[in-house]
Amino acid sequence: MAPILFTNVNILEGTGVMPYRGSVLVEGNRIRQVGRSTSAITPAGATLIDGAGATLMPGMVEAHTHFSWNDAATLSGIQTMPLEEHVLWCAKVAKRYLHAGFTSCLGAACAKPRLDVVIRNAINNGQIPGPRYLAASQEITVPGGLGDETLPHLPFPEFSFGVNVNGAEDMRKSVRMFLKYGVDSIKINLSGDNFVPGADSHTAWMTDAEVAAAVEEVKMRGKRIIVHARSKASIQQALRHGIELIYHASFWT
Amino acid sequence: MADTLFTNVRVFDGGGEAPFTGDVLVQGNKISRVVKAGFGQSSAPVLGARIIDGAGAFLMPGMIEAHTHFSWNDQPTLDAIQRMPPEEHILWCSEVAKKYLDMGWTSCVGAAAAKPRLDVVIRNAINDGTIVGPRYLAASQEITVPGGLGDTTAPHLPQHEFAFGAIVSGAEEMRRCVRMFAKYGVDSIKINLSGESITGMPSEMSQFTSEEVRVCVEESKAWGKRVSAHARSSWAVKECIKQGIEVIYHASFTDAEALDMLEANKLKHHVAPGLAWLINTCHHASQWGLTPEVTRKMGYHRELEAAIESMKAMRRRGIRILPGGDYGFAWTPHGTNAKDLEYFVKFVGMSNMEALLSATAWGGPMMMMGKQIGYIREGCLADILLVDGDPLADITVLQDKDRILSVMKDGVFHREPPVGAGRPVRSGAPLNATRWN
Repeated sequence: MAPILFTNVNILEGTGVMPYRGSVLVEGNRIRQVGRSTSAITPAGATLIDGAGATLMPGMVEAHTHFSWNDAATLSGIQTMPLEEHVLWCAKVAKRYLHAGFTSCLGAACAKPRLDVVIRNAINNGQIPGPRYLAASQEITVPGGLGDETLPHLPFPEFSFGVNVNGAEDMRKSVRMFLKYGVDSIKINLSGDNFVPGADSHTAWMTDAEVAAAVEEVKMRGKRIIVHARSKASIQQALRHGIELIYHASFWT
Repeated sequence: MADTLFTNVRVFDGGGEAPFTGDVLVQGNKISRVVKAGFGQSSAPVLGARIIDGAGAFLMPGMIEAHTHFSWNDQPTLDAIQRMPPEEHILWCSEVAKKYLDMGWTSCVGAAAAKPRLDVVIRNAINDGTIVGPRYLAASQEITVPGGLGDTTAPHLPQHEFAFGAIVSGAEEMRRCVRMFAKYGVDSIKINLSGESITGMPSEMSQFTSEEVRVCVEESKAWGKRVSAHARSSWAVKECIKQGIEVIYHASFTDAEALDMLEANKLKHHVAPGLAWLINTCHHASQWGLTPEVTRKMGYHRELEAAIESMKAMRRRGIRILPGGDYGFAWTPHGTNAKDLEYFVKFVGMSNMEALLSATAWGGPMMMMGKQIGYIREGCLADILLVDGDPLADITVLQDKDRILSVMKDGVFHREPPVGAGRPVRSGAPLNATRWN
């Protein structure tokens, strides 16, 4: 691949300084040189892109992505999509993010056990276009909590985009399964969400023993644990367990 | 969508005559005008149409593959197909779908999928634009019997997910199985009527009772589905004709009775021998442990000879033979399908013209699209290849992606012709990026 030289661009370098006119040389997969001169010399063989004053900035990083949420109006609408269609959907969404300028995305949970892992691998091996990606597990939750979409007469786990656990050992088993599948992060739901009947944003339901088991397993394997935490109690619980990534944190009073 | 006018092309229209120099106009998804150019005169340009000067390139109908398994994953064993998880498998199928279109196959007939819904999902995803691929007819899994071809379960691992076939025993299980695939939305039901030597059940052996076959056909027809059969044995071929199974795959072993029956019903059936599998398993699979000695013991060399004789006999009797060679194994990788045309010429005795017709005009009925595809004629769907070279002089040019200059499906370029394909750049500086691949 020939080096690429962007000239005549306004460089937003990502350090907080105001954009300045200059040129940027890319060699291989690295930014090799950032110059303030507007009349850079073209290295031999470089492809020259005249930006005509456009802003040149780092690719954006999305911190909370659910490729497998399928633009449906309901949570059950996510789960009624069959597995095969779901994978193709995720592939389509991955490309959409890249086209929208997000060159990196953090998976925040997927709707079926392996969707995120498979998409990350397919991006990395060049099978599909997509951003850099960290693959998440499904949301691990408790019966009746956010993510449990089963119905009393349809208690099958496949109805849920989340995985139900009960007790520390159940949590450990679930976490181990996802680690086996190759996720980068384990997602657990420490609070509810306002559109889930009976499990609104102010709720918190996981025991410290369950959370501790998850954290222990994840750290043992060098992976990351991430949480859905809207209520004050759930945020406090996340802090108590030293959890690095807290999504939402809506209520602190 | 802009209309496209191909000028200065040598048109092979699928009718069987020598190509002529002329122009082809595509409007929307149809071929709207085909004009033979007079000496030194070209037809008037059409307002708003994009003009592609073919510079004498060979323009022909998109090819039609009669026996495709998108979900076979270029591995050396049947077991390896089944070990691929469904998520990876669907991505694989979508990659393969694109590959067929890349290689000029604008229509493919699914001959069986390795998991229940793979073919259906891929067909739907192609049709709704989620992925790119050829026109596609979706097949069921191969329906088989315990111990038959497609039953890759092991005694200690009897779970049906281990098998790429759907295993049934008895008429009512067959009925239930067909109904399930019909519910999933397949276009055709695949049934394995004969063995396959590599699985330990010789190709000359047959499986299923006539009653099970009858129920399969009855139930498929009730749902408006087509039935296709893996039929290597003579019995299996005859069973297809007796029971009204439209698509006959392989037909390696045919006795005089089978040939007579086929000839008498030749407009009702389609035959695709899948020679690539036999040829390459016999001669090009040593790397995977299948040396000629091994495959001779399996019976494949004898079968190859029998199959060639069967195909020659069919050709003499005017039975049309279609390309599609069971591609998707390590020694028959996807994308090399045009070798089938070379095999037809080399082994079956077809002329290059016949081989080309088998991949074009003869394929329309196989795709259940009659004469809408397979021809460069006014009113036909615009599935068009532009080829560098003359397949009528050298049929192997169709094996080379670089020689297939462009691929159009349904009036839209999948691959643009190289001429004028460069994108304008805003810089006046030299641009040494290639303009096309």
